[in-house]
Amino acid sequence: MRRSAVTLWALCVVAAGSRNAAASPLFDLTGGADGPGGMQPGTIGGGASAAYFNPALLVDAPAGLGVGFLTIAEEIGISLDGRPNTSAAVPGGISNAAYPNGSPIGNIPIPTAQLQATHPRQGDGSGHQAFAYEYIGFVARLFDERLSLGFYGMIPDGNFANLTAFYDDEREQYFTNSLHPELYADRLTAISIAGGASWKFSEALSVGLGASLSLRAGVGAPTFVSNAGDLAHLLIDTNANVNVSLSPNIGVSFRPTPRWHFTGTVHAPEKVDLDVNFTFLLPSGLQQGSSFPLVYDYMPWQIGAGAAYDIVQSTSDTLTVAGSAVYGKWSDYVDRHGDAPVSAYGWYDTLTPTVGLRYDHEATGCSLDAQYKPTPVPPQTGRTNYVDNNRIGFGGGVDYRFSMFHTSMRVGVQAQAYWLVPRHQTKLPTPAEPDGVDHYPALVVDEVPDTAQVGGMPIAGSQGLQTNNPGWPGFGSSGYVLTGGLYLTVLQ
Amino acid sequence: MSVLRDLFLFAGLSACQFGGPSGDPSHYVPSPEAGDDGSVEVPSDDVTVVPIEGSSSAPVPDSSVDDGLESGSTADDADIDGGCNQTVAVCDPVHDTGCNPLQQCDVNPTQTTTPTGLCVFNGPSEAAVCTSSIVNESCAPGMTCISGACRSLCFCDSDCHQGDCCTDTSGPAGFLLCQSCE
Repeated sequence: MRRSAVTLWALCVVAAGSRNAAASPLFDLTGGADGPGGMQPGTIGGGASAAYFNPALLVDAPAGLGVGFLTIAEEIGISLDGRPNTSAAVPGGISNAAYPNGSPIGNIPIPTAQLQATHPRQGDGSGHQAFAYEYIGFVARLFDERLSLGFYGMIPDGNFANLTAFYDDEREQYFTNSLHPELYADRLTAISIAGGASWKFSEALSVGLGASLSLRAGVGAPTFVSNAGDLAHLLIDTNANVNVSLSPNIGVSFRPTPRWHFTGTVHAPEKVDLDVNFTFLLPSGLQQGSSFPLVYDYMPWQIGAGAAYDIVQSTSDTLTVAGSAVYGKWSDYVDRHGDAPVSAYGWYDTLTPTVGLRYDHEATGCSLDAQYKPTPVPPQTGRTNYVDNNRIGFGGGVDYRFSMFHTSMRVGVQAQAYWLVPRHQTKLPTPAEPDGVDHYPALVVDEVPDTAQVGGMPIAGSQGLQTNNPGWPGFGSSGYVLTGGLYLTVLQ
Repeated sequence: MSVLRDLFLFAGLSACQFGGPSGDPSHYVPSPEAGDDGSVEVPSDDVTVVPIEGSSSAPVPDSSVDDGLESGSTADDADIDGGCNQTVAVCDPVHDTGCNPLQQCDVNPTQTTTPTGLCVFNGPSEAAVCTSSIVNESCAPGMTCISGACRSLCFCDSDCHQGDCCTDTSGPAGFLLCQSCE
């Protein structure tokens, strides 16, 4: 048995060391949507979703085929503080601004008045969306029911996966000029397909190994620019490749007594990698290119532990109280542009506790859970605008088992409601930088340095801070996320 | 019920964050030019633009260049403050540096007191003559459109093709043009 456990760990480490990984932030939000798992699917089994959350619990899931429908509505409001006056506005006529020595000042900001007219602040946010999904799962038993196999997949309606990158600082002015929920939005359409296997060593102990599926893609775009003033007539080729990748997880389930049940899980980091390479060839023969990585749906190392105790055990009734906690190593987070938060605003590791009850009466079961998930994002008082909130969630579900046409079935409904606790943050002032050098890189950037010039002449209105950072001078966020769905399992 | 109470207590105590920010976001970061003492070298304003006409930072009338060249000296001879190493504001249209890969540097026609470049797109002209505006020009990098013809910009002879000399003063203020040495 010890050798088997070591082998499972070795498989995990090898797989986690590969650059290919998967992504399942959607699973983490919906929980066990196909059974009594609810918001504690790593502790309470009962469905094929154990293939992702804790494959060791596949032994508790009834063998059969399940299908279901799920919907998610996110209503996350982001309110930006008003800009106090025009002194921080980026002036016009600076498209050729440069330092006194002639070197460019970097990313030339868009004049604030023009930006507000074309891309108003928070005019293109992504916190108000609804999604629908179908899920399918199955559990099979082999080898005298010692081996259980499971598959669980959740497929969004519409786009199979949305991968939307945005900057979390002043660079977003060139695109949406808005803030976005860092851990929701496009992450709610992450590719979510998992499989797992569990081996029952005894009636008390089972160990499982699973993996979730994802993609690693590379896109190359060699481009010929015949007329840079007419970009509508580019000549472009594309070279794209897509690789399937796996991210492992491991789980253990231990029942020392008929009433007690303990579980443990480890999930390796998950993400979708997209490498973009592009080259531009000009008629002059000049060719330049660049490449950059994009990272979507990042999930860190997660280690979970749970315990459940049957308060009532009888032939017709069972009342179980359960608690679990998941440690997430969010300090390793990388955002969609592959950037890690600066140390002055490094993310927290978090511990997310969940408690709940399960009650079974004959053919009917119900569940109730409560969860508090602290945000890993520290107050964004500097340059970056990672938007996230502490989250309080409640979930519940009911299922009913019956027979029809000599076939056993289970039908259920479940829902979760998450409240994102209101949060507000005010940016720290950026001290004056009279030499025109950015000495405070963690704070809001002065996008028009005091020494910047145009044509050798100082720029009027360049003194002090000028910024188009959409999160300046502060912002608040709050909202809620609702999930709910139906499921049907045809039991073997 | 004691088990339930203990679980809730565990949940309340365990809802925490670990690690997180390290360091002061308002920490002063010296510039790369700073010395060991942490002091910052403040760039001098007079390194901004060095007019090719002389060492003075003050604009010099075009006539001073004309006079010097008309007296028989070449641009190299005059070697006006660095000759080929002239500094131009924004970008350098002679050597086509300072712009992003999609653009090239042309002379900024709105700046007549100091030599100033302007990043523009390159767009071929369908007419026989060249065209230029504040957003695009049809001449190759290193050239500018003057009176419908593309002319090579220069600061000194080495900027011109073999056989050409940097002696034509009919170009935009602050720049010379290449012409045959003969």
